[in-house]
Amino acid sequence: MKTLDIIRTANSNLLRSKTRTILTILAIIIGTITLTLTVAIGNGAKDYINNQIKAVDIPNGLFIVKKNPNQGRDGNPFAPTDTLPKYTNQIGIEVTPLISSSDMASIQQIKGIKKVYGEHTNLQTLYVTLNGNDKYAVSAYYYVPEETLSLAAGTIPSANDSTSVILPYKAIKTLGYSSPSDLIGKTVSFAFITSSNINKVTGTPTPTLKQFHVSGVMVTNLLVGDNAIFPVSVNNAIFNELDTTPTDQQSFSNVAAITDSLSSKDQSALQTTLSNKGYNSNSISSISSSIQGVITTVQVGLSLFAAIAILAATLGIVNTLLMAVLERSREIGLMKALGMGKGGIFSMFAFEAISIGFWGGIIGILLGVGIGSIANNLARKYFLKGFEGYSLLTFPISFLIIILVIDLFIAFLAGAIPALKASRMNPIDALRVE
Amino acid sequence: MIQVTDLHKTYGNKKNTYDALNGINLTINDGESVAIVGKSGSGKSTLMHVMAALDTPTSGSVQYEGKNLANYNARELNKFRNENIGFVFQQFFLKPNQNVFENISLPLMIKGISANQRHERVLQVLKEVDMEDKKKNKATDLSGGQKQRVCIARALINNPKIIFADEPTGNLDSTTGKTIIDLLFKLNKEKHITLIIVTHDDDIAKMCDRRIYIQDGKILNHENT
Repeated sequence: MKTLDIIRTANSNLLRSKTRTILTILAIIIGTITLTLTVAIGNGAKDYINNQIKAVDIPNGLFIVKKNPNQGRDGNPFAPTDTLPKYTNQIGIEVTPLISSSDMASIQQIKGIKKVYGEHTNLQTLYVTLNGNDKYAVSAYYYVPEETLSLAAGTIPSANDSTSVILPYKAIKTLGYSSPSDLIGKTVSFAFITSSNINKVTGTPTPTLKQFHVSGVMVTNLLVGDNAIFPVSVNNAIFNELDTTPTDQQSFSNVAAITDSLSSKDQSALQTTLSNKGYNSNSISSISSSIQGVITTVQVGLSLFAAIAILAATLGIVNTLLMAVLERSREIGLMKALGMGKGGIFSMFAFEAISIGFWGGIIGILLGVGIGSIANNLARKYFLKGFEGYSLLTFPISFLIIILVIDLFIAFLAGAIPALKASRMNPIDALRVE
Repeated sequence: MIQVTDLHKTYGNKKNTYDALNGINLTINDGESVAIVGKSGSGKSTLMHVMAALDTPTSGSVQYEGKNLANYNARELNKFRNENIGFVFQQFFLKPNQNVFENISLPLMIKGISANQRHERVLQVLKEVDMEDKKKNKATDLSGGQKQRVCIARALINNPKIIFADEPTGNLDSTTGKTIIDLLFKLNKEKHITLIIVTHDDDIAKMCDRRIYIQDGKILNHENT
């Protein structure tokens, strides 16, 4: 029997008990919609993280901090210790140790590291003001020259520009404007302070005001947050101005290193070297992949529930086809008498199952995508308002194809049981069934 | 030529056996019309099933043109039945969801003939059973006689050498039954198709060249016309 004839016969057989077929397909549809949506939510979240990270990308960038000997057990910074920490001449035990000038030199010497930038987190911004009267609390984010930033308006100041700033998106409304470009070119003042500027007796800070002209406005971004953004040279210059102690000036709280273009193997070797020397390091891609890993785990968990729904639906296929085999035993007997082989009978019922899986899968995926698009529009209008570049659900075509293949495969497995039963029927017994 | 030698067919398990066929010897020549006559439970249906390669004998052999069916594998047996044997059943066994045309083309479809090539052949056999005007009708919308004509057309479609008819008039009134029997004998005479009718109806049996009476799985007697 020709394959085309088998498929045609299988499909026309499905239409013989329409209600039963439709109900069975409906169950597959429900399972498929669930699976499509759970996969789409996970992908939406991953896309969001990716977009957020792309907005502040440092190619070949590595963040380096010194390991805190008081923190963690067995090299795991999050594992609790079983002894009290040692005192290390610093206030507070959770503070990461500073990276000294000799540390900087040793990091610089490691093979694969091209350039290092130190940052003083001890330098704080207290507030920003446009007119000198209204002060708004703001923190600072310092970028290295190699960093790319996604701006809502304006340009990124050059690496040694000490008088320009990129303001956070919220600054537009805060400072009384309506569009990002309104802020470009305006002059704002920032209040800077280090711990050495705090009056030891009264605790009152005496900040230093610095004027900057606004060169850009940053898009809303998860990693940068609501920080004002300066070149890292600004951090170093102002710190050195406020804190004149040479050892303080040469000690950094963290370091951003630029490496050569490394393979992931070389990259992890480099990070191991850093770890052996007493530094924790993180690249943006590793931060991204660890977040993605968490999302994937949640996604797989959710998808398993959806898969259970599909699995339950396939029991419907088994049931439907077993009934069909019983109803059609005389027909099976006749076809066998007329020379149809076991394989032909098996394929015919298997195709019926696959057909149910196909229609259930296709309709389920289409409905899933439809529901998802509606949900996306609602989300954008209401609770995701202001989350730039975020779709609640995304539907990569490759995932949709995988879902369909899963549907077809499970349907085939479900159909195999009744199909086998039909193919093994004895023609005479089958013809005798009343 | 069909040659049946010392055919035995035993049903049941070790404790409870039942001999449906108990040493049947029989030769049927090409183009002959033969009636296998017997009461229900006599073994006549089992004999037909074994002769038509639908069932295997417990012992003994069935040979077509000197070739033993026991030497054929499942695939060869399927092909053999498909190409050489036509079946006409008492209960018709037509597919209710298909029309006359589709029902008749079933053996060709099983053989793997493409839809285009099936078309011509189906029209030809429809003419032979005088049912051309009903080809689009659903099988369920036909009268008993028309149904049996469709079955005969289906049996004829592969130009079989033998037609096995199992109580072909069992579900028909006597007038309709007569026309069906006439059609079968016409095919037997004009196309030299060997006709083997399983029946308990003496009037039909008497029309055949030869009658074989079966009782308790044995041949009671042969009778030639």
